[in-house]
This record gives sequence, C-alpha cells and structure tokens, in this order.
Amino acid sequence: MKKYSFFVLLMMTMVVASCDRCKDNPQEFQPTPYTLDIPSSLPAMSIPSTNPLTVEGIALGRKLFYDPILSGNNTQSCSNCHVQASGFAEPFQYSTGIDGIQGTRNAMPLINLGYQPNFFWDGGATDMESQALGPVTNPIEMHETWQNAVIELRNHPDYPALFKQAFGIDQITSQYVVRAIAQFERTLISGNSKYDRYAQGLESLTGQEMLGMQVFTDPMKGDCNHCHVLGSTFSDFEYRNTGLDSIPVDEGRFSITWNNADKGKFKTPSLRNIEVTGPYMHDGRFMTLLECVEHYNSGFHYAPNLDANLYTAVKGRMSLEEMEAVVVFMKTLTDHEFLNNPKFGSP
Amino acid sequence: MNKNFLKAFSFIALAAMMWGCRDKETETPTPVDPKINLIFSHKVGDEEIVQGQFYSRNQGESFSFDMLKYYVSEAALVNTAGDTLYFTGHNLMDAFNPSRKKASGSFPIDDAQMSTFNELIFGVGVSPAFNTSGDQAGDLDPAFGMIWTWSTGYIFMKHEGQFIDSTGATQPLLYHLGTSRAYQRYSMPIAVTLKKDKTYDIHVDFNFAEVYNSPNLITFTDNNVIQSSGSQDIPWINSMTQNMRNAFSVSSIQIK
Repeated sequence: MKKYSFFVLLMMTMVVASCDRCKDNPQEFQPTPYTLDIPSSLPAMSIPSTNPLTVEGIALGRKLFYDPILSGNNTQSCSNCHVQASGFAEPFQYSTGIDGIQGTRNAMPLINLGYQPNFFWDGGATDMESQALGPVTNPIEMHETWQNAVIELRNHPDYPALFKQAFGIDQITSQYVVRAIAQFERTLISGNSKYDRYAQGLESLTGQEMLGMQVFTDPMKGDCNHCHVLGSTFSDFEYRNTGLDSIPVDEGRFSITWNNADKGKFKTPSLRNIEVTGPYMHDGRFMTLLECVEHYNSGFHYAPNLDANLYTAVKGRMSLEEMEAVVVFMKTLTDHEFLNNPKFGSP
Repeated sequence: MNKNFLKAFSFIALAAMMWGCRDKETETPTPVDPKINLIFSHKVGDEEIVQGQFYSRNQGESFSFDMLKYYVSEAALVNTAGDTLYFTGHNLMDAFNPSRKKASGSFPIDDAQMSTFNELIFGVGVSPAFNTSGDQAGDLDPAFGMIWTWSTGYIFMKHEGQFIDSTGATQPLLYHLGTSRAYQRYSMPIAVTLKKDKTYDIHVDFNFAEVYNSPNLITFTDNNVIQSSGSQDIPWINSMTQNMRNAFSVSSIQIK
C-alpha cells in the first residue's frame, strides 16, 4: 500500500512539473505607482504614458541626479549646476564643466518642469527625457558618452538591481537613465509661496507687496503679467525677444527653428522662486531683480524681433518706487518649503 | 479495489506526464514567412570602399572614408498589385562594421496575395514620427552617438574622412546629414517573387560617386564641415537628398 502511494505521489508531482503554467516566474515586476501631490495653486500635470511615475523610478532618478558617475571623470553630477537652494538653478552666471570650461548660458531652474512643452532656453529639447541626454555628453559640461555612462552603471554594485525594480529591465540603457531622471524632475513642484497663501486667503501681503502686484499687472506700468502670467506657473513659456541686445550674439530659438523671426528669442522663464534663481536672463547678465525690472522699464533695445508688448511700451513709465515694489512682490514667490525639502535633496 | 485504483491512476498520471513531455518539434511544422535581408555595399563607382583609402573624382578632390554610418528605415517591397509591405523598422548601418551592413525583416505572405514584387523602397534617416525624441531604444539608442542633444533629432548619416584639395593638401571631410527635412524615401526597381521558408539576400549598392556628383555637384573645398546646424546648410541638404535618388540600385538577389 505504501509503495503505491509513493508511486502515485511521484507521478502527480511529475505531471505538475511538466505543466507550463506552473513554470511562471514567481518574482513579478511590481513597481509602486506614485501620484504627484500637486498644490491647489497649480494645474494638473500631464505625465507621458511611456514613463509613468513610480516610487522606485523617482528614487532612482534622484540617486542619478546626485551621482557624478554620469560625468566623464566622475566628478560632476546634475546637482552641481542645479543647486536646490537656488531653485535647482546655478548661482553663478555660467557653469563650469569637468574640463574647467564655462558655458554661454545660465543653467535654468528645475521647478515645475512638467508644465513646460520643451526645454533649454531655446526649446531645443523636445521633452524632459531628451533634455537629460544633453548635459551628460556636452564637452563643456559633463563630457561623458552615453556608451561609457551605461557601462559604468551596468558594472555598479547597486544600479542594476535598482533599474530592475524601477523598470523591470535586465540591462540598463540610456533610455531608462533619462526616464528615471525625468521622473524625479517631475516631482520638483513648487506652489506654496507667500503669494500662493495670499491667493488662497491664508496670508496677507504688505502694502509694498500689494503695490508691486498692482504694477506687475498694470498694462501701462510693469505689464509683467503679459508673459509672466500671474498665478499658477508665472509664465506662458512662449519664446520672446525682450530687447536684451539690438543684435543678439546668442540667436536663441533661431538656432533651433532656423526661422528668422525667432532670432534673439528665448523662453519666458517662470518667476517662482526668482529671488534665489539669479543671475538672470539666458546669459545671466543681470545680478539683481531690480536690474531686470529696470531693463523692462527703459533699458531694452529696439531689435527686429522685439516683442510687440515692449515695442509699444513707454520707456521710463515706472518710478523707482514702483520698480522696487515689483521686486518685493516677486520675492513673495519664494517657496521655502520647496527649497528646503529633504525629499529633493541628496539621498 | 484500492490496488486496482492506484494502478489505473498511476498509469493515467504517467500517460499524462508523457503527453506533456512529447517532442512537439517532430510534428509537421507550419511554414515560416520569407526572411528578407537588405545587404548594403558601399561604393565609389564600381569600387567597394575600404576604410582610409582615397577615391578619385573627375573634378579632383579625391576623398576617403574613416566613418560611414546611416539609418535605413521602414524598408518595403511593393507587389505587382500595388500593395506596399513593410519589413523593417529603423536600422543603424555601419559600412565598416560587418554586423551592421544588413537590415533584416519579414512579412507574412499567403497564397492568395500577389507575392511578386517590382519595387523596393526604404528611407535614409529617421522618419519624422520617430525624430522627435531621444527617449528611444534599439538602433535609436542615443548611446550610438547618432543624435543631436542640443536640438533633439537624429543624425541621419555621418561621413567622416578626408579629401585632397587643389593644392594637394589633405583636409578633413565631415558631413553630418540630418533634420526632418532631410528624410527621404528612395525607390528602385526589383524583380523578386517571395515564397515561404526562403531567405532573400537583396544586395543593394550605395554609390558615393552619385551622392556627391549628380545631379548636384558637391564640392568639398570650402564646404568640408557641414553638420546640418543652420539654414545655411539647406542647399547642401537638398543636394544630398536629391543626389541619393540615383545612388541606390539592387545588384543581385540570393535565395537560400
């Protein structure tokens, strides 16, 4: 009796073992979906279906953002030129790459990027993932090749497992590096400034700040509102020539579109955290916010593609008191919670 | 009763196990769709190019190839009924890498469909729908260095080498063709009938005597470094894409 029982058990085991369905890998790829916590001051952010946000992807992107492994001599990471305390911008006019060479444009702040349709001062990068390809290989920036970067990541003790957990892949490629970085960047959301609390009726502005806001929105005075739209993202992200030079040395959007009408046009940046993201303009030529306001007041040059709003603006239309008030108002856009959030800092 | 039951059960279990383990390959196989390989030979006139060797032109300016890389995209065969059947995606070709001289693919054919083809078409470069992001994999992986990152877009073709100018001096030749305006699909006659279970090696000549000569003569002197970086490069881009209409031909087809 016992002999037969054993034989039956053996047979049943072998039947089960030859059943294909039972051979499925028990370790499934199960990343944790992540929903952005967007404050009421900001609109919904569209996330590309090719790169949904996950806890694992965001953590991996954050680790990569702060890792100098992505540079040619392993000394420089994204965070060296995109400094959290400066709104993830560069506190100097130009950034210096690993070979000691400086660029010609001021590194842009990384705030609320998910609302922007394209990237760089001239919009040359078509999406956030494509943008991340650039600094890594730029000879005057991180000066690495993607081929080398990927080899180093594949040979790293920790990264292969992290990429497996985040994306289910067995071999790291450039595609997943930039997807991870983009996921982290999408979480860099700022919408809790003094202005936001004022707009929600939770805090009041000073008299000078109120005057500044008035000048900001007055089409006959600052008219800042035209491009740096009050509330939400504080920019419409359009490309404009603001008369920085009558003949631009840096041709801006023209070098991307080859359209003469785009000569000297640059992206309208967001004014959120502008107090800390200087120096200002595409080449960081203005060290202070007052210089910026003074530029729009009377310093701008007439250029062939000068924005129509400036073309019709009266030079000297703002008094010093009004310009200083605009500066004070812009400082209400500083979001200290964002600038100090440890979730965005080095892991 | 128990013993008989156990015997029967064991027999059934054993039979079931052996049925699960049967060798499926000894059953009659279903016919496989024809496999199509586009195999490129890179020539100047009749000569297949050798890395570093100089090739003459009627106008002087003999030139060489240190690197020749390009994308072949969305290859298709057109049958005698006018149906266009695609068999590849985007393939990165490298004239000096033996594993990258072939773009392969397949499509299903059935007996009712016309399987006689008289036209071969393929694009050189990355088609506009794919040329808008670097977040891509396979042969479109940015790790191949065939993408511009400052203005998102792929480099359709790189020819890097040298040429001899009118003084006899050796000068660099660096041509990077790209931007979506440079994407063209090239058509050439072919005569092939496809059958299942067969592999077709379609040999295509890519003739650089034509690329730089006809109908637009491209002179290297004063024009030797072009990276499709501005509107000043548009005439060159147009010349190149126009000339390439005459640069491809099917030289032979091998059936295996």
